[in-house]
Amino acid sequence: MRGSDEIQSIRLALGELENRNSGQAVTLPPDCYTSEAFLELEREEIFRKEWICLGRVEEVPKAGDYFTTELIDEPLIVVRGRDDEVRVLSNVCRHRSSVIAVGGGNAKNFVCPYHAWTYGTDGQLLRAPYMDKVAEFDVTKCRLPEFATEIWQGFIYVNLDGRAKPLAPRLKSLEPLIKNYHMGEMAHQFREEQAWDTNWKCLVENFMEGYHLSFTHYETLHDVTPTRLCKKYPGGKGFTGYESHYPPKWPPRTPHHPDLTDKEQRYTMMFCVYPSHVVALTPDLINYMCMRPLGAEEVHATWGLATFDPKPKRKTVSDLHGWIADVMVEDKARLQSVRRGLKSRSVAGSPLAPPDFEGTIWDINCYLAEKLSLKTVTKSRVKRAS
Amino acid sequence: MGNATAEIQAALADIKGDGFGQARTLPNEFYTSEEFLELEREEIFRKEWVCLGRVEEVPKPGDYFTTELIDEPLIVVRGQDKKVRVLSNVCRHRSSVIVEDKGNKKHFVCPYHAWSYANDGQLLRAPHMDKVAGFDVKNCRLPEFSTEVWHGFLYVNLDGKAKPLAPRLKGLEPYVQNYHAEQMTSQFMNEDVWGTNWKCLTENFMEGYHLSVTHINSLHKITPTRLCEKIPGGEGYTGYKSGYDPNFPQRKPYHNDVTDAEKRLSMMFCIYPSHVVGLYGSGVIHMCLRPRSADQVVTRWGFASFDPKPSRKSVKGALELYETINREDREKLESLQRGLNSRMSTTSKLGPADLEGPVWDIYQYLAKNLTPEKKKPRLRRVS
Amino acid sequence: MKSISAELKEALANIIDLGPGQATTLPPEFYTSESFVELEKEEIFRKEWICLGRVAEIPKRGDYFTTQLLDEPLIIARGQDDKIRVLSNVCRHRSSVIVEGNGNSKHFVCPYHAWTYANDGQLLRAPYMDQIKGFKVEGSHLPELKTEIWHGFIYVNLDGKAKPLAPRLIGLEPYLKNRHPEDMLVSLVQEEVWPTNWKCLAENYMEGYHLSTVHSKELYDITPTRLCEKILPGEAYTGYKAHYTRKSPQQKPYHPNMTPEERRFSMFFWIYPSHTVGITSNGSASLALQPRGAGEVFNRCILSSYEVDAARPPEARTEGFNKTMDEDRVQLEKIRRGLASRYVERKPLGPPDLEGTVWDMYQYMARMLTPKSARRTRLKRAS
Repeated sequence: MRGSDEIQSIRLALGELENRNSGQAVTLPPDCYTSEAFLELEREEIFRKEWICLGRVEEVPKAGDYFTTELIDEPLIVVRGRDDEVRVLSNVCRHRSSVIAVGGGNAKNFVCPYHAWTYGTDGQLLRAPYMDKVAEFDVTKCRLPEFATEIWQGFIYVNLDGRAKPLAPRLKSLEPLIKNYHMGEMAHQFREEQAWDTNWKCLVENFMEGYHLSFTHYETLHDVTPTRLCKKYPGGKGFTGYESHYPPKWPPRTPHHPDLTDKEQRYTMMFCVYPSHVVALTPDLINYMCMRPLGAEEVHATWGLATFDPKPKRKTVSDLHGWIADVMVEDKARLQSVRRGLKSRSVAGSPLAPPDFEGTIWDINCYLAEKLSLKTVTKSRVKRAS
Repeated sequence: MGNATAEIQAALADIKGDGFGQARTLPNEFYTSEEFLELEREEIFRKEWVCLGRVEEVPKPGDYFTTELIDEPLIVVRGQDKKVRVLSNVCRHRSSVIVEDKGNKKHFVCPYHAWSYANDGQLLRAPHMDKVAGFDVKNCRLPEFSTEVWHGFLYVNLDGKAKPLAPRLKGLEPYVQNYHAEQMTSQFMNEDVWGTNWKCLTENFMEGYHLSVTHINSLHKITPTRLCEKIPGGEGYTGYKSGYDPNFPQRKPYHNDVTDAEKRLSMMFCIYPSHVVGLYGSGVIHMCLRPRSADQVVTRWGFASFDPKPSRKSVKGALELYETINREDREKLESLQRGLNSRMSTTSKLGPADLEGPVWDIYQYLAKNLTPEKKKPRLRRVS
Repeated sequence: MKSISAELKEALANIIDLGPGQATTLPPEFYTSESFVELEKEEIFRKEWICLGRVAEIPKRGDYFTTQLLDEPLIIARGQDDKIRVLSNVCRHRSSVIVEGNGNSKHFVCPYHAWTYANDGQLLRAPYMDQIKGFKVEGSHLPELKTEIWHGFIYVNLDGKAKPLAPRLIGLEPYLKNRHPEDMLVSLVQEEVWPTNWKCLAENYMEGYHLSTVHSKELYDITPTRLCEKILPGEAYTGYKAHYTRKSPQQKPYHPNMTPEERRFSMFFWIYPSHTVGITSNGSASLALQPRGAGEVFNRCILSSYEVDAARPPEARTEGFNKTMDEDRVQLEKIRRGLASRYVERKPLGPPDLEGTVWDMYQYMARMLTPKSARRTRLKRAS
């Protein structure tokens, strides 16, 4: 079948990357960004099996607080139960598959709007009108599926297939670099859900490389985090990142935790928790995005902001929102353009810029190659068999 | 999977080489199958000469415009050396489209990471890349595609292997040369997407049968159906003369070489696969067509005038006329695309040669290029 | 083309002839698979009787309306001989759609090249085609499709092989004979595309379980869930009665033949595959549905009543109905999202009076789509 041939050849091409070292860093094969068949593979092998960030715990501070979202077609409820546990439940009624809750808020129970089946905030079915007339139907034996969850630095991660190894150990070597910021104490200000016309990897790469800052964002970011002051640090099993330093003239960013060193106060700590949670951690705030693919050329991007100041002025938050939104407008234009360019037959692998500027992209490429490639050893096995 | 394409190819093989006496329509899937469209994209639009516009759209060094052909973003640019080139409009770094729209530039600077290219495609600058071992700016340039200019029209060939175009159009020269299209000046160009198959629009432009019906309020008074007369087709083209109604006033100015007979007609021709042209003494209207999907065609269309400085009024008048004609055709063709999806359609005879003969020629061209070399044995037909 | 999963095939085969006590939902693929929709289009929508509209829409000779069933553009016309026909709306020349909208006409003239047909489908005129050897105007006719009229509803069968419809609906007659739906006048025709699977919309319309929750504002005081009562299904239909609360006012005028009991409930019936009708005491709402894709349904909705107040604009007359439909629209979007989940399991349906119609439809689909060889006899299953 055409689809599986297509995936096969892309995976083989990915396998070639594993033969290179970081001095030979190159872009991914272009089909990785445009093939719907490859996207299906990513959905199943990565987005169903890995840890995906949905938001922050301080969005659901009290028992009954919840918000709803979707991950690769799975409608989800993120809710703090009466037992204070934060859970991620399937948001699909066990009767005839209606989505149960919409938006967010505080609820004692979740009542399906179709036929009023009622579930507790732990997912247990409590009531199903008229179903007592149906032989062998037992309300107590019915509950909403619950997904594996992990909380790290205040972020809520979900793992759909329930088999992922714990997340925190894979981020161990990142901990020393971020502990002084005390991310877990920062306060959620807003979260928005957006759709961008680009492949999810293009947006992750864009967020995670400093090379474009002084060109694409000449008006918005060049004065605060210019390309020339970017400096990569070593990545790890579950992450990559770089420091985006401020010029001496840039004013201090406050308020921040007193633990922050003088040095840490003068840069933004950029990191990506694989596959697609990207964070810009400054002394005074967290600006983050989490990408989930909608199609090969469309991505659902969650964008959130949390501040060290637990109660910032409304204008401060609104100004931040406006500034970051302006940056995003510049990125959106670039990425729509890249989307068109990637369809060209003339695209060939290109060397990436030096490690400080595009080394994070190389790390991400290696992560994907490790997860999705067909190893060259497999290729030679096939040859031997024939 | 390959069934739809195989069936269409069989239908094309069936008509290949048949004379006009057997002219008939092809099965609807010819116009509706996405799978067949993929074959056309690869075998025709990548391998043949496809018109992008006219050279006088880029008169001065540095002038350029951008367009796209089967997902290839392109820049059409006149370099500092005055040569007109068609370059890939995709940055060699991370595939951003470099430049949009049109203008005049010595350099093209990619807005993503500021890689800069000269307007002949040579990479001049790639910030910080000097720190990358083995990377040499001098070894990097935008791919350049094969081009050919014919009577002022600019054609590109993406795969670089097509035989030269002009020799294939030799038989058309006597019909067009006196108009001197190469001396005309482009007045207007626009790009639209119509909801119909590229062949429907090509055929529509190339048949006179519909003029007095679809365009009863516009073209019928200028070039009615009854005055259409086909010319013999050739390897690379087909065409017909669309005679003017005697009451239609004479269009001016025109080149001295234009004969009295040529003054009273528009020379309609198609350079395969999809460049359709209406050439007359005082100007030329043309459409550069390319498929977006089986039911969508991009048309880059415009007109040029023989008068190098036509009055604003005459340009406005021409634009209004062509926009009216396009509106009438577009509405009908988008409706046609629905009819083509029906299963109830049957093969029909085409109209007379003067009125729908070019459609048959287009079919023959596609049959020749999209079916295997070997024709079905003549013996079978005799029995 | 992707095939349908073994899981769905088996699920359908296994439910055939299971009693209502074993009613469960089907796997989500039943509603979400594009391959399955293609199968439904071929095996059901092309082969069965599909409702297009009402006789009352075309009362006079020459009256016609147009619609599309799957990919077939159609004209439904009352000829000069007073006969109602369903004709292919595709020109026999080059497949243009001939006529749009509705109106009154003796002839249909194709806008492309003016081929002209009588309103019984006979080709009358094809300009210039007298020059084509072997072409005969008399030999050409718009295909006429097999039609049946039942209680004023017009049904078409695309493949022409379906058994007559009326005998298969005999069991419904007692519920309709006093209501005379064929005597109702048309109040409003609404054509809409809903972003949901056709079966989700049909099921929603045909089950009483959701009335008291989704329609707690509009319908709770009129037809609450607790007063719903299913009827016995037949080979080609199912239905239920939605009784009125004692307090709800009597809607008028009702047909004089209706018994006092009949005036106090709405009769909902479902002619498989996709014609769902609700008849109240004074009017009816008919939803003639057809799939566009797995997540898209075309709904030709006709609201009728014994008397139409022409002074009131149609939107005002039908406001209550449309409010109810808006509530359903919101709910169906939630179902569309829920059905995309990988973690949906099959569960029991509600009691027969409330969701038994859904189970009946499943049984119909299972019978239509499971080859006889794949069906297991109940005896084998018991062992």
